[in-house]
Amino acid sequence: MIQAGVSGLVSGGVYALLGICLVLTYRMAGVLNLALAAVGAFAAFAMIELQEEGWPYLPAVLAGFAVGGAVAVVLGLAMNRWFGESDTPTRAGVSIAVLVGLLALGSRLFGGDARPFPAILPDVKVRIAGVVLTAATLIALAASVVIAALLTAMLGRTRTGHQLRAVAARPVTAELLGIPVRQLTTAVWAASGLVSTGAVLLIAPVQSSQFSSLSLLVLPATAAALLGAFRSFWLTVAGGIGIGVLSSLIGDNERIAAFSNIIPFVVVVVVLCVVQRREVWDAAR
Amino acid sequence: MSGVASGLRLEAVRVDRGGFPVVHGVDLVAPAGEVTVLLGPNGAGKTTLMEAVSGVVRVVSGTVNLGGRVLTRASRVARVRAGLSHVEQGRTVFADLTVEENLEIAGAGGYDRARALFPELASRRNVRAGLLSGGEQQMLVLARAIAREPAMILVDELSLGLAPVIVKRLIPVVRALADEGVGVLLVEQFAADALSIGDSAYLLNRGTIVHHGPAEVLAEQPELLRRAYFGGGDEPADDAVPAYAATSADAAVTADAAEAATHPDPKRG
Ligand SMILES: Nc1ncnc2c1ncn2[C@@H]1O[C@H](COP(=O)(O)OP(=O)(O)OP(=O)(O)O)[C@@H](O)[C@H]1O
Ligand SMILES: [Mg+2]
Repeated sequence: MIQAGVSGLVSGGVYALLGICLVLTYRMAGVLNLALAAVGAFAAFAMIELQEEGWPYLPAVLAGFAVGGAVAVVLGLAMNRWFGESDTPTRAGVSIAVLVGLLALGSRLFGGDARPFPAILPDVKVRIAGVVLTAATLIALAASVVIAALLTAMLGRTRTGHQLRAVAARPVTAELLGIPVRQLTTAVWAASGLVSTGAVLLIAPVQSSQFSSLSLLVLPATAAALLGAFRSFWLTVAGGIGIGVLSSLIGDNERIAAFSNIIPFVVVVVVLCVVQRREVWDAAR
Repeated sequence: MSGVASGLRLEAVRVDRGGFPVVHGVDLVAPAGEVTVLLGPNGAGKTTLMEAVSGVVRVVSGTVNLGGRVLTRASRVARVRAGLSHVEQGRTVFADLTVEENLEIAGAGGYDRARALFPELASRRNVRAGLLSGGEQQMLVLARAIAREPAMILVDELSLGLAPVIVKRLIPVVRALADEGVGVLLVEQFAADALSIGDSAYLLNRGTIVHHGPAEVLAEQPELLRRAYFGGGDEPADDAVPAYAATSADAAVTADAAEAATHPDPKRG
């Protein structure tokens, strides 16, 4: 039981990382990017292809990250160019179209089957208080906490962070003050592509690794971001880890295992209902 | 360097909005060290013209020249680097950043200067800009533009929705900037207040300049204004002339109401 929960930590950390990216591009660029994990999956498969071409391990991984960052930047600039004036639901719709496009392109280029992903990390296991944690688990958790802390501090305390918030609130006004809007937006998208690539590379060796299933990791990540109200990085991390652990616990119980993918969303709906009811309650007073 | 050479010069500038021409071939000179007042009725195209100068909207034809540099096709950021600053209509503060942070993100060398001009803001440094009064927000927006040490500043409707006492506080700051050598192009609905500190004035109606000359001439001859606004012939009844020809004090009641209505939510214009 405990070990089942612990084994959900790795996917939880990955949901948290992807959730952070979703919150980041939503807050800073106004885009709910449902193609996020597909971008990461694309990068991860590009890495595998390069390895099969005979590239050594490290250059292939670096090239994978470069692909992830570049695809995300192209996506972000295209969003800005053609849908900069559109509303948020329209842009979310466009990101779904991009997701569908990447799914088609991915299955065409890389095939529909699961690929054996080499674990990018050494097979180290750490035993803490009787439970075994893999290196991937530790890294996913640590990375999500560190990235959430860095982003929170940067947006709250640094000049660049304040500029990013200014760009998010009033892009035209920000530009009229000489803030380099395009560079900042590009950096945001690049960061989301890099983190998404890292997240997919962490989880791919552990779970079923078809291009499509990796791309759909965005669904639990969206649930995590919802729990963070698409605003708080910390709540998103907590939500991602919670969803990972909960799914794993449910998957461990044979009678309800079939529901393990649905339950997180039930939880999200319940949480949102409670939160909204409280807001209505507050507003009514 | 003479004022004109280092100021703003527009030649035959045409601007479209939604596919329709809104500004038709405007020639305008706003020299450095002077306040150039741009007046005109609602919808005349004043904001559109300013946005064309700062690059918010595209210039269809004609040239925008700042200090001898042609900026007609330059990016917004390049225009800012060339010394242009645009205070947009509608108190565009960054509502969830503090006063200090609003200044800091824009700030270059003019940061201390901006703070010195508005000592009122000192006690509000750590307050979120969205919580400021309308007058304080307008001060912040001006201070933010000044912090960039512009050579040329475009100010669109300083007084929008503000109480007259605040307008009287802000207008002299604009004059002081010009006296330091900054070029100012000022759009203002309280024509008399603007003309009182202006050097020259332009009247824009339906996208065309219908009059220009020294500010004091217009200040002394409000009937010129009225004719320009209503296009010569059919003179309207006196009471149809809105706040334009009036001073801010005449509009005290409506301005108070407007401020109450807009505060504290910084609506865009
Ligand atoms: N985004 C837009 N799309 C289409 N037409 C527009 C747009 N913005 C303004 N217009 C039109 O352009 C004309 C000029 O508008 P503009 O805002 O420049 O006038 P203004 O002189 O600044 O008026 P005001 O005193 O009300 O601020 C108006 O007829 C307006 O309806
Ligand atoms: Mg206007």
